[in-house]
Amino acid sequence: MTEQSTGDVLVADYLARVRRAGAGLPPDRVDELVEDLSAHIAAARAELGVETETALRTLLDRLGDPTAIIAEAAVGEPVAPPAPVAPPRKRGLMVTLLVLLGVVIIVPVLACAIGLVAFNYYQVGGSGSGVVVDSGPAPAPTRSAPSVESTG
Amino acid sequence: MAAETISAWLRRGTLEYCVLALLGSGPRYGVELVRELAASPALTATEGTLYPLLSRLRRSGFVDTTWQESPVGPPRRYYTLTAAGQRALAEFRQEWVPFRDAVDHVMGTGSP
Repeated sequence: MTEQSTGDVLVADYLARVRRAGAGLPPDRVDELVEDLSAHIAAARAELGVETETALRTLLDRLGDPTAIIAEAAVGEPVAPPAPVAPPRKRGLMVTLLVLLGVVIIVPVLACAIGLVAFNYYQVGGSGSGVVVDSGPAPAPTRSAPSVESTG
Repeated sequence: MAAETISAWLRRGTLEYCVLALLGSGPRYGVELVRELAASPALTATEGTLYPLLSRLRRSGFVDTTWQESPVGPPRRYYTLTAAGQRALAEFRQEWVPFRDAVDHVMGTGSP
């Protein structure tokens, strides 16, 4: 009686290992495989006559390692969809959009700023020495230039 | 280890047809078919790895399955060879002999 339930636990555990190993395969393939293996186990158990735990363990050993069975089932199957590929692509799109938005906003602003600065520069530049005096650490030669021109 | 890899590679293209050949002599249920193949260690690693192969043959239309009552337990799934399976088996037999002879010739493993 207890032997029977131990057997059921062993079988359930084996089939659960098959399911775990087959997590990357299409679910209907795994269902079919588990159905085939359960049918095999049920038929082979029925043929055992007196079922002992040792006999059942031998039966499952002959059936083999669940990962090896799944590896065989994976032959010719498309590889499971790689989950981490999609998010970086979305993030890449976001980055591109942000860069585009940045360019669209920053370029006109920069252009305006440059334009203003240039405009100011040329306007102030008209009065000549004023700008140069403000920034120049060596005011003497620049000052002399207009005076030379005026004398010449 | 290396020997196991070689047998795995060799089985890859031939084991399917060995299954078809066994079914050519009559229908068999899963356990029966799998045990008959697994009796030759050169042909199969473990019994369980044959079920994915049987599933592929079923999807290719080379074998068909039917459930039948069993005298000693739950119903059994019987595998039978279809007409397409018979044709595939005949083609394999035609290809196999010159292939085997050519490999034996090159390897020096043929019978004198």
